[in-house]
Amino acid sequence: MYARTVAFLAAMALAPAVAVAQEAQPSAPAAAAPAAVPTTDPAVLEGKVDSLTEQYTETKLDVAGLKKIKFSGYIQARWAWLELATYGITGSLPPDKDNFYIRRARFKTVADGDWTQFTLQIDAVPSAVGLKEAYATVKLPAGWAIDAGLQLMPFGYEVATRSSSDLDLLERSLVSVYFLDGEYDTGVSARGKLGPVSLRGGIFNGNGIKAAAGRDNDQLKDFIARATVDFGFLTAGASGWYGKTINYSAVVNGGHVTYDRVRAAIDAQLYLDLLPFGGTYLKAEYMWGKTGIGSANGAAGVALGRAASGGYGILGQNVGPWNQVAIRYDTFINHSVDISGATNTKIKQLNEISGAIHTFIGSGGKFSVAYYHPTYGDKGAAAASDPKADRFEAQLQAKF
Amino acid sequence: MKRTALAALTALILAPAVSQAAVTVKGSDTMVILAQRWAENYMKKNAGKKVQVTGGGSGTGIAALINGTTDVANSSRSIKDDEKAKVRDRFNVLPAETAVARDGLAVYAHESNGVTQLTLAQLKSIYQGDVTNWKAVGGADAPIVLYSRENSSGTYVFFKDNVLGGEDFAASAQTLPGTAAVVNAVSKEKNAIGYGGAAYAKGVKEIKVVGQDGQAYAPSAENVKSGKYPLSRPLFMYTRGKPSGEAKDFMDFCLSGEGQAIVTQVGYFPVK
Repeated sequence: MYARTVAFLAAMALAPAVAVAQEAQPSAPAAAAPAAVPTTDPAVLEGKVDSLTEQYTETKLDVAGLKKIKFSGYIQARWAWLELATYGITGSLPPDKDNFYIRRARFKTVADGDWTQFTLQIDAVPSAVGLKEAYATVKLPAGWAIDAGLQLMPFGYEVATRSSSDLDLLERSLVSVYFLDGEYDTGVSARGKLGPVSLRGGIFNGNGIKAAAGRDNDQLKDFIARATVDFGFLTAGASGWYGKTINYSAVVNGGHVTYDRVRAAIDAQLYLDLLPFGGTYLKAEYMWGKTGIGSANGAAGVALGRAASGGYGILGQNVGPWNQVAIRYDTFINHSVDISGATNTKIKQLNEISGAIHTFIGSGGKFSVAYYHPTYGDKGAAAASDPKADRFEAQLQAKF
Repeated sequence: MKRTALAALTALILAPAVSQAAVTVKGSDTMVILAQRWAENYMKKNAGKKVQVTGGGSGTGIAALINGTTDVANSSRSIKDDEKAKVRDRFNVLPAETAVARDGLAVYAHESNGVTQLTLAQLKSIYQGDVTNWKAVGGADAPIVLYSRENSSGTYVFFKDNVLGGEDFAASAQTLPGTAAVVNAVSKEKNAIGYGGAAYAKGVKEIKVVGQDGQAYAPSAENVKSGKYPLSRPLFMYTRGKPSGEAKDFMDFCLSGEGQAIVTQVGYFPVK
C-alpha cells in the first residue's frame, strides 16, 4: 500500500518533468531557442525525492494514527418458532412467537491511545438503540489495565468470555440468564495476567444494564471478580460476586430490608484433537447465588434474597473447517420460588436439552439453527413434565 | 419447492468445503519461495494433487488460519497467545506448530558500504532513529536510509522483538512489501540499510552481526546451525490441530530428505 502510494506520488511529481522532456524533443532543431533546464538535474531530482520522502513520512504517520481506531460489529437476523406461542391481538411480543426479528445489531469502536483506550459499543434494533459498552481504559505497567464505565460483568464463562456472536448454542444457559441477564454493568475494574492466570475484578453497581436504565437502585456496591487459567487444551475459571441490595419499594417494620446479592461459579473447557475432521470439546459450568439480576425492587421482589442454582454441560464437534454441532444439557433450580410463574404448582427445577448446527460462511458469516426442549424436573402433582415450550431458531450472522 | 429449498441449503453448506479441494498454504513472505519450490516438487511427484501457495506475511497467514481460508499458515515467527486462543475459539482445537526450516535474518547494506559489522545495540540505535549517520558506526559521513517491513510480516515482528526489544521503529523507516523489495531498494540506495531472510541477499552486502561472544558472524549455514549468529529463527507451518489429510502429506514431503534438500537449495537451513 505504502509502495503504491510512493509510486503514485513519484509519478505525480515527475509527470511535469517527463512532459517537458517529451515536448522538448520536437523543438530541438530550433537551435536558436534557449536551452531548457535539464530535467535530469540531480539537484532537482534530489529535491523532489526529499519532498516525496517528507510527504510519505507525513502520510505514514496519519495512517498509523488511523490504524489505532478499530471498528467491529455483527448483525444477527433470526427467525424463531415457539411451541407456547399464542396468537391474537394481545398475543406475545417477538420473539415469543413465530417471527423474523433482529437479535443483535452491534457496532463497536475501540480507539487506542498511548496510555488510554476508548471503547464504545452500540446495539441498534428496531425497538431501541442502546448503549452496551462505554468505558475508558488506563493502561498500567506489565500488561495490567483499569476499565471504568459500562462493561461486561467479570463473571461466568458464558458472559465474561463469550461474545453473543460466538455462543455454542444461540442463547446462553438458563442460570446465566437468571443471574447475569443483560451481561453488562457499570463500575470500575482492573485486569491483568499472572503467568497462565488471567484476572479481572472490580466494584460495580450490581444491578445490571437492564434494570433502571442501567442505574443502580441503591447506594450499595457489589464486588465482582473472575480468574481464568489457560493450559491450552484445558481452560478453567472461578467467579465470585459479593454484594447487597436494598428494597426501597417495600416498608417492613418502618424500614427497608437489605438482601444478599451473591454468586459463585466454576467452569471448565476441554479441547480434544481426537478426530481427523475437527476438534471435539466439552464445556461445563455451575453457578449458585442469591437475588436474580434486575430484581432489586418492585414486582420482581419475590426473587430478593432467594437462592437459585444451575449449570450446563456442552459436547461439541467441528466437522471440517466450516461446520460445527453442539448439544447442551441445562438445568436451573429456583430453590424457593415457583419457576413457572404460576402459584402453588411447586415447579422449582427446569431442565432443557438443546442442540445447534453452525455453518460458517467465509471469514465473517455464520448460518445457525438451534432447537430447545425444556422439561420440568421437579413438578407439582397437577403439572405435566413437559411445559410444551420448545423453541426453534434459525439465524444468519454477519460479523466484521 | 421443498426439494429446491433443500438443494439450496445443501449447496450453501457444502460450497466452502468444495472450494477447499487444493491444499492452501498462506503466510510468510520470507517462506514464499521455499514453499513454492516445495509445492512444485510435491505436485510433480504426486500427479493430481494441488498445492496453492501465497504470501502476504506471517500475520496474514495466521489470520487466514483463524478465519478458515487456508489449511496451512507459513510463519517466520511463533504464533501469539491471542492468535492461539482465536483458533481454539473458532475450531475447538489448538494450532499445531511444525518447524520446517531455519533462517538467518541478514542485515543488508549497499555493496559500496564500508561498514562490515554491527552490534545488536548499534542496530537498535539505527532502527530507532537515535543513530542517523553511518559515521557513528564506523562508516562514511552519510545519512542512514532505513528500510523495514510491514507490520503483518513475521520478519518485522522478529526484528522488533529481538533487535528493538519490542520497541517501535523510527518513523523514518520506510516499510516495503516483501524481503525482495527491501533487497532491491538497498541495492539501489548507497546509504541504505535493510533486513530480511539470508536467502534473499543477492546484489547487496550482508553486514556481520556481533554475537554473545563478542565476535562478528555472517548468517552462514555453519553460524546459524551452531547458534553463534545471533539473528537466526525457525520457520514454521501452522495447522488447525494435528496435520491431517492432504495437508499432512504435503508437510511430510517438506520434512522429508527431498524437502529438506530443497531448503538448502533455496538458501535456508534444514531442521532434519
